[in-house]
Amino acid sequence: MSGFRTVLCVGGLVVASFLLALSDRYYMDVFILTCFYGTLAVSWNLMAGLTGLMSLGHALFVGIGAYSVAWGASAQGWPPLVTWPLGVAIAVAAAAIIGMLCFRYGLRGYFFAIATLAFNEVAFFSVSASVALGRSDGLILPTSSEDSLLMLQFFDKWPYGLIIGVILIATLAIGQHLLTSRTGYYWRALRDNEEAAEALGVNARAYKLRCFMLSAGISAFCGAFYANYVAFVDPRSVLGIDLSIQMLVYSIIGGMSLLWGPLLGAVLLVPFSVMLRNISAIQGGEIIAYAVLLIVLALVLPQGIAGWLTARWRRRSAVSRPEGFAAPERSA
Amino acid sequence: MTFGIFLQAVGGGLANAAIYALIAVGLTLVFGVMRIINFAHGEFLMIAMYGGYFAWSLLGIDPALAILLVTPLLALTGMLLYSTVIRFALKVPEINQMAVTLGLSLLLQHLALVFFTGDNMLVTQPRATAGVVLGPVVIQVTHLIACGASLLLLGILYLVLKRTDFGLVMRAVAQSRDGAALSGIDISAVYKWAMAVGIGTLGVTGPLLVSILYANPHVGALFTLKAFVIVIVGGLGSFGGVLIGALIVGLAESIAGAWLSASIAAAVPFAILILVLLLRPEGLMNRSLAR
Amino acid sequence: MSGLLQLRAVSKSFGGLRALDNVSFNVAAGEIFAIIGPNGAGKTTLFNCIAGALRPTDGEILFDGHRIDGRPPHEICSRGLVRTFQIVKPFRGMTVLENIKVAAFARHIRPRDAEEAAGRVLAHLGMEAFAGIDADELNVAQLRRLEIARALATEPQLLLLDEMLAGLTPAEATVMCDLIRELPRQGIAVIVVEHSIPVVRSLCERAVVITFGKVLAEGMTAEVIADPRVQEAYLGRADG
Repeated sequence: MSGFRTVLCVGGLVVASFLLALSDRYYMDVFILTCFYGTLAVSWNLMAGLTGLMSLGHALFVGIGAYSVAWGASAQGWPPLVTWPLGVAIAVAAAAIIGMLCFRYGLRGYFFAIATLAFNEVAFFSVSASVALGRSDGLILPTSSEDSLLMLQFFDKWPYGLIIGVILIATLAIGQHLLTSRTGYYWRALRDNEEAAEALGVNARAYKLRCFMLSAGISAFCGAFYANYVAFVDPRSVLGIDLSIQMLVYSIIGGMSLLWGPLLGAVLLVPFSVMLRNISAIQGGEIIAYAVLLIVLALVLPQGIAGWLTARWRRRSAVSRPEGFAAPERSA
Repeated sequence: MTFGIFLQAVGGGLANAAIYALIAVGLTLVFGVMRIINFAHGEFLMIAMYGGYFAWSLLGIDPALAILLVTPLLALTGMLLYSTVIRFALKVPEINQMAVTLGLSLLLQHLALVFFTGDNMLVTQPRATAGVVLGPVVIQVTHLIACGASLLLLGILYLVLKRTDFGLVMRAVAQSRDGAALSGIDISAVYKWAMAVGIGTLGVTGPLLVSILYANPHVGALFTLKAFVIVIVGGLGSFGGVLIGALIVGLAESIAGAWLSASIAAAVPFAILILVLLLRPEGLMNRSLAR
Repeated sequence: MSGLLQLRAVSKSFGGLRALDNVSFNVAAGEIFAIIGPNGAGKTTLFNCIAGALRPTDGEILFDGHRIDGRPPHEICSRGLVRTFQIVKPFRGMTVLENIKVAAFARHIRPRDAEEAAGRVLAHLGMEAFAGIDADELNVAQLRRLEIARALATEPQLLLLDEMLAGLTPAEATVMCDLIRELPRQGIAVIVVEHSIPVVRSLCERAVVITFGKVLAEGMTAEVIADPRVQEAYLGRADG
């Protein structure tokens, strides 16, 4: 599996898209959104597709990142250099706590999914009730008329595109490195058969926790970016279940067993939905299309589009299967 | 919080508990028999609510009577859902199952948005504002009717499950699918009926609820989540567990709402869920392992 | 009495049911040892206690001088005691080589070292041709061999085999037995849980017989099998 080469190709495509998008503010916006959702979906899928931990409450970490930045900027005037690491640190700590609680009690499958959802909802309602965090109205980040690198405030969109593009490529690179390392093998082993993995020396709790914390950290990074890009956060946009479901949708449609599968899902669906939103007279029409696509693909093509393509490509260069097996080597 | 307010909260909480129990029982039945969690459960409640509303606004039928219309329709929908979607979903891994029912939930919500618009709809009747006085507690008539109907239906369901052959067959499949199949039970027929009942029960709650609450495309989601909490707290697949879970959630939510704010009250069921998941994931009533 | 694996007065109760009662025996380094007994005698419970899947209610289990009772399975594996599963548990999303690599990572951190180690195990077991095949395309005998390959890749001192011959044809079983017989020569002791007395007699030097959760007899295989109490316990299943 020449995964590294694939990541290089994907990285190249990202750079090419960025350069193409420079021509138009609108395209750049689409590029930014695609990279944003793509990174989120890839980080979500590190847990779900590669480690077998399906989280339905991942918006929690996006929200932590976004609100840390928004509150830090509006209430304290802190720059991103302070608020971004803060947001990521809080998110990683939250994942550590939630993970320790869940994995200690061996929560899996549906139960883990619903537990994460519950934590997300608690956060959603707590933030909606919190005056300091703007309640349901949300927080607006202070903006000035001048561009500021320190505060990550630009009139043009392309600097934001650059940032999120780099985040995406970094995420893919980190993911690829981990996949070929012991960590990646242990994650996949935990996904395929946790009991066997433990019997073969894998510390299930520790590795699941590691995955959870990494995924949460990346999601928080994205949340922080969102706050600076949109300059407004509210519970519905960064803590809502819809966000978590989007990560699921892109991953299933793109393919969950590959690192870059979710990115493919985002690339196929995000520009499409932006386009539909502009031309469709039906409100929410694109979501109806999504939903149908999701149901059909989850049933018919469980490996997603990327998985299907990869399997077909592998079959073309397939090795013939040997019959029987040789007797064991006699030791001297 | 005075004692009077506390009692009022308890009264309201108990009434809610009955309604929640009826909503949750469908979810637990489907899981108990088919081992699938239907994330779109609340959306069918939403459809039933709209059904009740339109029966009233277009046909002038009293919501309580609309039940007779909406329930069979919903039961049929449940069967249809099984034949077209759920039947295939049972064969794919859990993660894909979740994706299917989540997708269904999204689909129904947005179809409703298209057909019914996002406006809130409420059935208003003279009796809606009337209240029944029970000692220090006042309960709205509509609330009481919904509560009473829920208890009645829960009782009927209990009797059906425990006393009839139909119920026996369902319990057999829930306990051991292969054993039941070997005994000659037609599993897919049982599944179809489980979905029919599981979704059909929402046909009773829906029309009654729309006299109490606004109907809008997204109202289902909140009920789905609450139903989850109830079902997991009480134990997936356990009928008695649903009653206990509903009592806990209904009361806790109501008392928290009276004591603290509404937003905090909304978070209370989830806090309970987290506690239960961590301390006793198999639920309070269920002895079978959740893991 | 010392040994690589020592069980001292190990008991396990499930609620009111006493599945294991005061079980003690030793297994020395480099020997092939059998745990035999009728169905329901507690062999699986015993096995799971040693492997770390269950925690004994009483007693101690020592491996290489360290207590392992109640420790998590992954820790026990890193100490050098590894088990296989009777119902095979391959990693279905991975190839044969990747399956073994996972186990090899227990001893090698760098992917390249782990891959080499996995390759060596594959070669040793005559499975090189299968390296790139997906685990879910193998048949039962091949999967059993994969189980052992994975276990061996963790470079254990003691290997626990749970009913490794179940579901194999006589030819496949013979090959499997030959494989097991080779292991002490590589410094790996083996504990075999087995039903079949002829297999145990040909493969194992020493054995312990468990009935109703208690040790009925322990010692050299031939003596243990000839013991009248053991023959009675098996109700004539032992062929004289």
